[in-house]
Amino acid sequence: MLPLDKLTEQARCAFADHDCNPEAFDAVLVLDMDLSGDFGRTWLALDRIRKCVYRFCENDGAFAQFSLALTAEPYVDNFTSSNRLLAHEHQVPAPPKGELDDKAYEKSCEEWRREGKTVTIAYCTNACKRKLFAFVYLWERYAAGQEVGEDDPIFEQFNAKCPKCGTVYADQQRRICAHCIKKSATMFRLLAYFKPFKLQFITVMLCLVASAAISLLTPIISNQIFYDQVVAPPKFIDGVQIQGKLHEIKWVYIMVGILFGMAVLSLVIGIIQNRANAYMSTRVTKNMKNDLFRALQHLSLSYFNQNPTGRLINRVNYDAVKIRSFYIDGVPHFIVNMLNFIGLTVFLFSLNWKLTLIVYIPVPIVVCMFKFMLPKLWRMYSKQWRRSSSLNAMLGDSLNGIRVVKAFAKEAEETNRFYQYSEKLYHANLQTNLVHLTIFPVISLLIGISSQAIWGFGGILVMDEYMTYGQFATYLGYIGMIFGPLNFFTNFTNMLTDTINSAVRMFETLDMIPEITDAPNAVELDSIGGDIIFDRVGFHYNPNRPILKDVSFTIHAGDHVGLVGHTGSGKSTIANLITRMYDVISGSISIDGHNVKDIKVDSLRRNIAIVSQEIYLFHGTIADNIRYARPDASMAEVIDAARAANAHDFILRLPEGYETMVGIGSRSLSGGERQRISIARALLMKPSLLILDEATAAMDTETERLISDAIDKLIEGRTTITIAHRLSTLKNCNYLMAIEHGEIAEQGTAEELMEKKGVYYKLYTLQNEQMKKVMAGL
Amino acid sequence: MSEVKTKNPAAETDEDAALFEKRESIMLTPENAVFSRSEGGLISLDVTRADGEREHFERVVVLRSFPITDPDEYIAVREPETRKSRRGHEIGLIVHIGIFDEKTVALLNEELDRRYFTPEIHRILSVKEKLGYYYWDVETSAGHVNFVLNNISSNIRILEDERIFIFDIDGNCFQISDVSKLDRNSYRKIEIYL
Repeated sequence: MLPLDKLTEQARCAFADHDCNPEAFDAVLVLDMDLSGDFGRTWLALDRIRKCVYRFCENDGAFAQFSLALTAEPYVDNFTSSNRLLAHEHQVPAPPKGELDDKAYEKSCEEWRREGKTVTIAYCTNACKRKLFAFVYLWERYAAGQEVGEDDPIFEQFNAKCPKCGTVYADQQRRICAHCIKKSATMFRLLAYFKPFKLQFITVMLCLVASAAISLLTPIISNQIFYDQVVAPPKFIDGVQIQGKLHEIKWVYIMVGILFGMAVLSLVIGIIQNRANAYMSTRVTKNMKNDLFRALQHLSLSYFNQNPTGRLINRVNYDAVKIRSFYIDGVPHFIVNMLNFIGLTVFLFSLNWKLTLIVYIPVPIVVCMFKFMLPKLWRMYSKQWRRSSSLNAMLGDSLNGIRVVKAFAKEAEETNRFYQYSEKLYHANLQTNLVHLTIFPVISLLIGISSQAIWGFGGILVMDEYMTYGQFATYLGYIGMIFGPLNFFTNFTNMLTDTINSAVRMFETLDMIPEITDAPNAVELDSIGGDIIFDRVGFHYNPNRPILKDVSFTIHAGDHVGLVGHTGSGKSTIANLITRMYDVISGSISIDGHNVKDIKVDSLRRNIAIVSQEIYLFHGTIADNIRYARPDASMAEVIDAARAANAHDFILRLPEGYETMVGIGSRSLSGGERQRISIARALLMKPSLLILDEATAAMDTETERLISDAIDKLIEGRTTITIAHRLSTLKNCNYLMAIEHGEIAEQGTAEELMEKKGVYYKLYTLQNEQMKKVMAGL
Repeated sequence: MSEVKTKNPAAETDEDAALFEKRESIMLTPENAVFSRSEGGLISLDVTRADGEREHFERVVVLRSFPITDPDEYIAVREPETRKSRRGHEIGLIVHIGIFDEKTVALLNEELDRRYFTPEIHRILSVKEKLGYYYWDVETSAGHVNFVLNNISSNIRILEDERIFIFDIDGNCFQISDVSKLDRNSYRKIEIYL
């Protein structure tokens, strides 16, 4: 059975009860909705031998079978949350292509399309969408009598495995293995970043312990010893001196000296700790960011399609900083607070346990307050955050579109729109601030109550001489310190969760395996001849919109091939597949007899230059941009390439010539100028194969002609593929392919295609007619 | 030469022109359109054009132009898109579903509700967070279901009229029409994300 879904025992029995032979099923699929549109399991099974598709719903036990004949055309109706598998059952096979002329064929197709009936087979939500499309693919293949092996590329999207433990990922889009990721493991893995900084790490830890000790000792020295033994006059109880042991003026100086020394010591410790920390943290952040960027650069294009650039920038900046601050601020504070808390508790209880109990009375109340109020506050903050981000979005939107705003004289409306956002944000801000400014004073009051109680009880204890004044003052010093750690711990869990999420996201990117990788025995190609064979290539970005359907063609070395077709017909995809920006979903592509999957990606792309519709100029000089692919190229080569791309003249007209800065925030060039620079960039590479994807669309016809002539001279004998919808662009091509709806509608030389009177002919006459109309002044 | 619009192949002869004309979308009213249930359980349409010509469509696709705010207005009726056939052409528009009789409205709405399948969440049994992903366990109008959400802030959409739309990791959509009608426990579970 093909690796799609597996039958459960219950489903196996259900199918067997209906005279099916589950052992002979070629593929099984389980969907998550029943026929009435509720959630529930529906099974589909393909049996090639009996030429049947079976359906069984678990909810109502309904069973049905459908024909796997060629005349039953399966397709998926795909929508917001639901997908419906339908089969259009025709009475007769589709009209054969080739025997009829185009118009008659079209007409008979139209008729064929309308006869027959459509039946619903099953429903599912988007969770099963990809598998459903794969099932339809199998159905079509089997109906056409073709074989599908277990290693068919169609299954790769469902069966990606964790490289460590080999289990198939639960979520194929997010390749994280639940077995291999543990929270604690993530934290330890993060620690690896700190490993080179052992010395600093130990220093920081020692400093932390020392400063905790100092902060605990200070009240004892400054209060208990200073008041009771130095300031207070000697006092004896039962012949034992309990006060004024050091009741001399010199001890005042000594004590002040000690206190000053401790302050200096704590300052020095603080400085050492912070310096060690800064040294460690900046390095760690740097290393994390570098690792992330390197990992990102190696990921495949499809990853960048799925993840908006903004999110990735955020990931590199924000996540690394978040993790750093956890280890730099979070962990040390956690340790300090922990030590303080334990130390305080021990000290306080040993001093006077009764009084300590009074101190701890408000603790549960304060903890409850934090627990209860924080989610509410958090919710308000997130509302505030949402409003401020929608204000920012509106701001960016309006300023980016300022030309449109001005063109339609909508300044006043835009201003009003801004007022509205601003008003909403103001309310959210006000509300948050009001609540914040109310809650925290209340909490401080609660904490204050305990200290007032201490004043009362402590005062009585001192008067009754159960306690010395120094002990009492020490108490007051300590209770002020005890609520800091409590506040910190309530926030710490949030911080921990945030950091773990950041860390997981970071490791997710680091561990992500590029979809396009070199095969283990991939060959290195020094140059490419240019024999390209597409064999039944199928491709889609979204399974519902097939881009290429069973495309087969051959390009011979030295050909100058033109691809023509409507927008969205799949021309650019062909270019992307040749350079292996994406892998084919079905079928195969070979270059010079090697499957592209068996050629080292680097060597493949080094030999192919592609000038695409999207032109990107990096921030830098024009010369740098032209030299991008070959930084070692000489100035003479740069000028030659620019001349061939007809860019030399306009570049020299710029005040700084080839050294003019372009890119973000610099001089803006026109669309045609940018195209010419990118053509020069490709030409400088001296590629074995040149792909021009609408590379001259923004230029006038004359410039286009000049460039295409120059390119022809420059790459004589090399293979070129030109993609265009304007036929004049394809003037120099010796072989043409017309693409329509993801299929090669026709191919041949321009003369052959004219004779065929097909798609190309139509385009030609249309463009010609319009030309004539223009000429005639219509 | 200027850019070419190639959406409709050249109408060279009168015959082609007629075919092209026919494809122009028309306003569908009870006078010129009869919807019925097809043999396969879907929707069939018989159209009478202005010139009196009748046309039968074995299966049509109905779409809402404003699925969120005005589900009953501007309903487009189109030919289906299949892999082998071309893109479906629009047959016509229904200005408001209410102009048809009850039976037709029920037939169309059943199909539309299927298409814009958005289960209403009645009860939230649990929401658990793990590694930045939120695992939901809910009772909906279409039964009990589990789903996974990431990136809470961008995947829970709150409309002006307080309706809440939740988009899960697969792109499925769930809604809560009135969050105040949820029971107390459910409300507590969703409260912090709103």
